[in-house]
Amino acid sequence: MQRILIVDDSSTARSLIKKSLGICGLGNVHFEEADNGKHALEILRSEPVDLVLTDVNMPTMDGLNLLKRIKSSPKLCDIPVVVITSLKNNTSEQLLISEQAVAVLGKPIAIPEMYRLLKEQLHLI
Amino acid sequence: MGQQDLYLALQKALMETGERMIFREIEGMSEKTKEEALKENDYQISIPIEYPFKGQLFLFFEREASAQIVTEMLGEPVQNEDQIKDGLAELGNTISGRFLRNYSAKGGSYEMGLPRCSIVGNVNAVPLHKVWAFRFDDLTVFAGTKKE
Repeated sequence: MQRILIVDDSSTARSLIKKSLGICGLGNVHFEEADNGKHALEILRSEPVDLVLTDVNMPTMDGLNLLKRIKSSPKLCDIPVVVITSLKNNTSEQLLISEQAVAVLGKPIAIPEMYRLLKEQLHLI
Repeated sequence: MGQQDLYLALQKALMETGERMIFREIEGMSEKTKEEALKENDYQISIPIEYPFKGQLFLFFEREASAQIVTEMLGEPVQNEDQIKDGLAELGNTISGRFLRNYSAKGGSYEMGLPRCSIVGNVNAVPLHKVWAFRFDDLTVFAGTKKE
């Protein structure tokens, strides 16, 4: 079973992401959840996942720092990281892509965009 | 850019977010004084804005309609007030992001802080004179911005 880590400080946002993934046909994937980047790193160090979906604007450790930490870790750097954010604009997208995010999605989530992306990244559908 | 640009950017943000998150369309808009629009115990979401202007975006949700809004977002009944506050804060966060994206020059950068949900106490203490009322079917969302 594939494992996806959802990182967002809002439990509502995490629920909405899971719901969107269910609509994309990923209802049987195992979801891990973290409410900030630090918590996400703790989870990743104990058990790797197949994909990380992270928000940017979070307390304690934001999504950009989480992305940098993942990509600088030899053990974690191959995990694809998708950023889902209400702060999507050309500047933030360029920065996140330059830090090796595979994609940046804006909130509210567009299901067709999410579907295409997961199909590409996980070859599940 | 002036008040009209703020209003249009906010209107578009509420339309985009309303359609995707609470599955409703805006049916009417008007400007009201805070005394006409707001009540004690309504939920208030404030989002600090750093760029392209320094200030805050405020959103107000009527208490009676708030559980219903979050229930519709989640697709399941809300269990407690924390869930309502978290849901409204996420809705506010999304509206704020869309608002700033619409307000900034095309593709331009913007920065905002974390949303904070609180309860309106004394309406006179709300730091706005007027708010825009956006009516979605049976609920109304009130919004306003304050530049520093």
